[in-house]
Amino acid sequence: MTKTTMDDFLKDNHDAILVAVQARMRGDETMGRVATQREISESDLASQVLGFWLQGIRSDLTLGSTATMAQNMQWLIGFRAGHDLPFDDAMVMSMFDDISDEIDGRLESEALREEYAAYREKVGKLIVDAFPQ
Amino acid sequence: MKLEEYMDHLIAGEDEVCLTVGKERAGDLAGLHGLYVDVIQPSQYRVGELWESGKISVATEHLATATNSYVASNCYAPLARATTGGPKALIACTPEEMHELGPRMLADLLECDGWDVDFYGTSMPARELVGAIRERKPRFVGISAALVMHLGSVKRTITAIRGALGDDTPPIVVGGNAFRGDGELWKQVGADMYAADASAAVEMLRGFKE
Repeated sequence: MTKTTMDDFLKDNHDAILVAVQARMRGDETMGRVATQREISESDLASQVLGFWLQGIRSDLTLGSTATMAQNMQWLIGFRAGHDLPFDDAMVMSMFDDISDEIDGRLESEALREEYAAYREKVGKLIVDAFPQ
Repeated sequence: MKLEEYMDHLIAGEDEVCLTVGKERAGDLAGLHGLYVDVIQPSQYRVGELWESGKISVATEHLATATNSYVASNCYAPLARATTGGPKALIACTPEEMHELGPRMLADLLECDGWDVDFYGTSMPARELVGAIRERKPRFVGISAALVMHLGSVKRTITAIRGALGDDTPPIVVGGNAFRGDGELWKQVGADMYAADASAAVEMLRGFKE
């Protein structure tokens, strides 16, 4: 039997995770402010942002590192400053926690849960380090 | 003309001015290398940075890319040569990657160097790439990724190629903006080689022609 990997799991569960996290974030004030500023609907913005995150997480778990999210975090800081976007580290961490809770809740293998927990901890640290206090 | 001056024309959408600059620069093959590596590549990076920092719109970013593509294709055309019968090379963007100007420039310079290049453009599915390698039997495969979030896709593609072809897998070279931030990323995706620009890639790959 072929062993399921985090990559397989995220490929197979991408849409379900996206929809579930989008539902969790509905009505989020910061998301609403960013959507208004970007002149797009809140659901379109949530879909774009979550797609971006899920792609980054899957890329990292395929690589077995945090290389993608480390660079994405630097990009996010520059993008926020350049476009004067009203979100902060708390919002970024909250979004990552929502995605991570959703992923963790769907994992059936203890080995995959451990793998994801280790990754989650590293990315959490990246978020803390990336945002100037 | 300095890069910043070229950038001004590029951002303004002055395609004919940009083409004139390109033609002045690319009078011969060495000039085409210089145009691609010293003008078009850095100007594309700069365009990306300007969009990220909110200084230009998405529309301007697209216009600038289209203009650079127009300049590249018009400057390459007079130097293009028949390459049928030359050593085969295969170049593609990784799945989901929609930025093709970089690998297109590599394909152009390889053709000028005598390679018979199959350029597959944007978002080449891994399974199709495996089929193309089996059928076309290239001396090497080039895979490009511009966005860092596509690094995982590059690794999955390379894994699929190696899994399907085993010892018959040709050398795999990777490149593109996604690899710029970390000089070791090409190893993480399982590639055999990395080149920072099209000109360096041509030089590096010359050893695979014989």
